[in-house]
Amino acid sequence: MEQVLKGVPAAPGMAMGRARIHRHAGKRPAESRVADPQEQLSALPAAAEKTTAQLREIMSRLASRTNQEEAGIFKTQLLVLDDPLFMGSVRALILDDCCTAEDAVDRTVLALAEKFKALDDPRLRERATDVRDVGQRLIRNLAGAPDSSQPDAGILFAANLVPSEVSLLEPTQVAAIATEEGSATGHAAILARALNICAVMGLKDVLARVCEGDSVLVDGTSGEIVLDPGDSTIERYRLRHRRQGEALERLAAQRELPAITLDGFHVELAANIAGPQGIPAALAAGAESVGVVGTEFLFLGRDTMPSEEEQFEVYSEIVSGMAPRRVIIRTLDLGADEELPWCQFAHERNPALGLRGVRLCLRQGELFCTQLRAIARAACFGNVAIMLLMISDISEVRRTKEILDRIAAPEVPLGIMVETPAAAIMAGDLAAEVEFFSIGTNDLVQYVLAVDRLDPHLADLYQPFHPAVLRLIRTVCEAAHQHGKWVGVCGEMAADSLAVALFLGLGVDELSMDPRFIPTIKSAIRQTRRSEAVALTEELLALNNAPRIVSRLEQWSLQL
Amino acid sequence: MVTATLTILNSSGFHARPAGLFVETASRFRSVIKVVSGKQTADGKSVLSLMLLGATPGTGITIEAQGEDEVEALNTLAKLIAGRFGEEP
Repeated sequence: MEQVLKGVPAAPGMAMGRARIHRHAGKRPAESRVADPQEQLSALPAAAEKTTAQLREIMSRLASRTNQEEAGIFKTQLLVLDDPLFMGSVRALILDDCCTAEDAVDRTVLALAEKFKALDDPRLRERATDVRDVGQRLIRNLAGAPDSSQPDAGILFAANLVPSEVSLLEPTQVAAIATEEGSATGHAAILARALNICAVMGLKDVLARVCEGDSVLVDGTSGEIVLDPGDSTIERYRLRHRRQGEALERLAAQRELPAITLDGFHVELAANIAGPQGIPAALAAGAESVGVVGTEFLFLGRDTMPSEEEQFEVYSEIVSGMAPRRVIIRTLDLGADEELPWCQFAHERNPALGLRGVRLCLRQGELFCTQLRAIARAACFGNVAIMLLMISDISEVRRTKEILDRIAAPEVPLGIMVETPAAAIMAGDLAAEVEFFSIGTNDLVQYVLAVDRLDPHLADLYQPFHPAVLRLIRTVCEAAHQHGKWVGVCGEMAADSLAVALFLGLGVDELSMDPRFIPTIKSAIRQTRRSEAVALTEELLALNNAPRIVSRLEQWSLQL
Repeated sequence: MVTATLTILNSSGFHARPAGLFVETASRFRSVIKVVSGKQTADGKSVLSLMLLGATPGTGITIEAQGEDEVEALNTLAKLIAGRFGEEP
């Protein structure tokens, strides 16, 4: 029976495939004692053989697409499968503890992963991942579960995905993501867009309605998924998707044109990227610079802190890849749902108001110095700037400047993301201390309105066009310009074509967004006259409620 | 039993690829192969136990071979390590 479910559009695109239900790695197979250990033992060879065959297929597929090195990763996994240490431990656990073969493999993998974690060499420590990978594959084969690395692209269903999990997904293996939790502004969604994997989030109770292997259609542009879609439905969605693609292509044709208004006011259009893999998309979209590089991907999903060398390599790759365009690197921030295993934090009652951004950086002195040094070194490869997050006090900027002086990197421009009401209100004083502002609207909106942006029950109260937000943004823009500093916007609002006239009216100098929105925003800028936008903004800022502001902006954009 | 003491010269130590190469080579012989690094002893036919030695470049290791083809096994494995696992010097 065809069934349409509506969620939040988190990453655009359309995909068809079989449902694959993702279970979190923390969940271990049930520990149950078996009566006949010999039966468990006898299941091992066939499962191992099947695992070997699957690994060989992966290797030959990889070898034809990439160089031999990637395929080599799986060669190690093949050896693990034959390893006396590995198989010896599995057999011993089955015989001595009478546990199931699945449980024995799981416990062996956990014990080995612990041992790898204790090694000094970070590259060797990462091999725990290979042991885990091959172990999980063996467990799936013991359980007779379908191989998750089947070449036909699957639709990944999960209650929730953390950013590090999304960052590991391969667009070739996962055609789309569908989750019960999450929102369009969460880090998981941002990463999905960067990886070109379409995603629908906030699908309430979807796991109760979908089964492994079900046929599913995902429309990440509209935020709909269709379970068991009929032929006519598939055709309808395909047509819609093709039309959208054609519209995007028309916009892409504007790539070489400057982002200037009809009366010649230029706005710098920048890209938000989540790593070096985002550079091609940024350049293809015609980004004039990189407004935000999130650096979380370097820190998540690993057991140790990334070294200065490791960070330097990634930063210099991005900076040289974008040169001579400016690249603004944001120092480490962690969302409420993320943890670093090598860094212990107390449980936070309210993570959104907790140890985030610069607060985390200043308390983890070594981590912060290492990151700043790596960024400063990357400066010789092009044009780089540093941006601090969650500034709520001027002392946080001054302390960072002291650190930059100490590590002899005072020449790297320092800016802040303005996202706390405190920073916005103190913008005049802060503008005297830094080179630029970037208004992080996602957090600014949630902090100004005291509305949790991840809470689906409060979605109607999360109003980016609330007059309190807009008036505060005006304060920030005026303060920056009075001090001769530039001001940008880098939240989701920067990519909202409805907000373009408003930002033009306020004199915002830069808009930084997911690169795929750049053509749309550029088109809106090129159709607008700045003098008219200024007059409209005056009018909007006098209004006292969001619905009226939004309807006035809609009315305005219709006449373009 | 025959033994040889050598220094790991290749750039990554007993990393996945070199350890894999060592195991593949050692497995061609019937002899029992052991690799000793400091206080730890690894099974020369187990890639996991070799990687868990954590032997970085510059580490001294001793290879022990015992069995009917021990001399040939030791020579072949020693050559592999001295030749940096085929890595360019």
